[in-house]
Amino acid sequence: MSNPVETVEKIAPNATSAVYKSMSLNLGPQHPATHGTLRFKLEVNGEVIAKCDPEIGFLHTGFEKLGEYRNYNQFVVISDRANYLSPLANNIGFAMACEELMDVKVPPRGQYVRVIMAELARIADHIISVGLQGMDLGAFSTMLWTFIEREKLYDIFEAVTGARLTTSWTRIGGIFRDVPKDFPDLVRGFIEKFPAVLEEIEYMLSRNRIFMDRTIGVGALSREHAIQYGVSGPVLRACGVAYDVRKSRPYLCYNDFDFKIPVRFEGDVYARYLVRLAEMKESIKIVKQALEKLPEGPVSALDHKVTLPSKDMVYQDMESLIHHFKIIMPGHGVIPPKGEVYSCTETSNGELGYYIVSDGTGIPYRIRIRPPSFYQLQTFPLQTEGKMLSDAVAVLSSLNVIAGELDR
Amino acid sequence: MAGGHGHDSHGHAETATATPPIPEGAFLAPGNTEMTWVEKLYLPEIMKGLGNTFTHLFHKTFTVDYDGTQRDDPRKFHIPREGYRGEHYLKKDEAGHVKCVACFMCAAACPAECIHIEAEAVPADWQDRERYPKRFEIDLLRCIYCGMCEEACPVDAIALSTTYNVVADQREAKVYNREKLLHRGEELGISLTKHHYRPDGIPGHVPEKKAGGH
Repeated sequence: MSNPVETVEKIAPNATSAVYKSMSLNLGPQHPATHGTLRFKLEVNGEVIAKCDPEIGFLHTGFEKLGEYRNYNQFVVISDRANYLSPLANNIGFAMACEELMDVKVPPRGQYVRVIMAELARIADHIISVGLQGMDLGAFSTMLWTFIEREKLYDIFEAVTGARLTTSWTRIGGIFRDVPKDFPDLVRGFIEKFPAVLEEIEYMLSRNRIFMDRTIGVGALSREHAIQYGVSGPVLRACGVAYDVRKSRPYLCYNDFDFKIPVRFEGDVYARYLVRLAEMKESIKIVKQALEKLPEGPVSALDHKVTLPSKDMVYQDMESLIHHFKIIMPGHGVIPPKGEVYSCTETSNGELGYYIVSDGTGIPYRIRIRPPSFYQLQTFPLQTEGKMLSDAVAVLSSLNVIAGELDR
Repeated sequence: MAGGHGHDSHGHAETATATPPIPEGAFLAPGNTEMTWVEKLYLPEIMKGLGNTFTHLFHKTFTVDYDGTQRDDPRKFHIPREGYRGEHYLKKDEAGHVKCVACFMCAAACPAECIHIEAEAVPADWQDRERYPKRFEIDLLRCIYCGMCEEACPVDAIALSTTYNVVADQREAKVYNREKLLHRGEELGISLTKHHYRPDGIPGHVPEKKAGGH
């Protein structure tokens, strides 16, 4: 395959040199490929990007500051909004960090249900990512089909959490309510039909010459650079590093399941696409196993110093009513000991970390989010400088940058 | 820029020579980066794709033809399941009084700070409690529908209905006061229900489908 830069140099020998006056060009903040409000200041020589400067402040959200004014359970609703493609994974990541800080153990059923929902969220995120990758390269219909799949997943999320997007599902020590009775059937119904859809997407994209020409060799990131820049998730695994938090620092009950980490060695856009496809198949495997083993029992810890007692108890039992009051009223309830914790989970984009400092009150002293997309966006200039402008779009959609979590 | 070129060629050379060993617990994601000559011809692939897209004409339509009027018809209007977190309503007790005892728990639990309550001593003929809300306002424009108020209520007085179609042409119309919240429950026929939603199958409120209410 011909390297586009070499081609350009052949046509116009000095086009990439500073002799030619460069032009500054804005990619975003209102560009369809930025998938959010994200701006790139580009210096272009003809069609070649000489300099790329990402600017993330267009979607400043202030999540970390908001976290200093809300108690631990209330921050869950903010974690929804950080990654709007897989809010469930964010809920789980935050709740887990607090549980580690407070040393609370979630019962097995809670852990299994969390794993199932986290994997479904991963599928929802990856399928949209793959679809949008197709859309950015001109395959519009594939994107529409992937959105149908996400809608089906959102129907499951709606039945389980009560909301389609802003799920706010977890609480410290568990989940705010058990899953509905028909939950296994709902998930099985999706999981059984989903592989056929994946096959169709592969059929449409994987061997399509336009897609291959636009992705193979584009945005190749070396293994060393990926590690240096702190990249994680599919982008890192496409560079040949088998780093997955689910394996390297097993959380919840991931040790109970048989799954493997897909890797590729090319590090380019096509490799990321392949890794995402393979990861969805692994996720299906995990969900299937978790459904088979799904235990009975409570979904939240029974320590009512941390979790709310059931409503039936609250209506009848004085002690439960007191616990109920204490957990919700400010200054009582969920109060972690003084200290700090860093906890990370593997979300669809990579390692999502929460660093929480507790000063021994009901409100966190500091919450810092380590969003996976931020670290991937850092490599964007590295991948695009000296390349064609149209490649920038392909690279950006393959990084699956979520603008909401960049500038917290 | 020159540096970028250097790194790039380095990366290519590395992958071209030999595939490094697969780390433990990992596997090579299936895929082939080489094109066969048929694929390079480009036209067969286009025909394949077009053919596949064409078959989608005959698939069942997934979207609903929303026009906002036929709210009983699932083909026209998405009807959420029980347990959906939509607009709030206040419940009544048997005597027809508001169930709320003005304990401020929902206001304390609300992450969006959208519930405003003013408590007052109950009229003399109310035997069951000491306080009731003189003013109970939910600013639904601030509300994020997280359901924490319902979760926090110790007397089962506030709950979220399945109404998600929350539009109004005035800002003031989306600030619900006590009467409006009670009226919402009556409208939906669920203001007297005893149970909150429970996923374990014990029936809670079942929204009634009737004209006018949504």
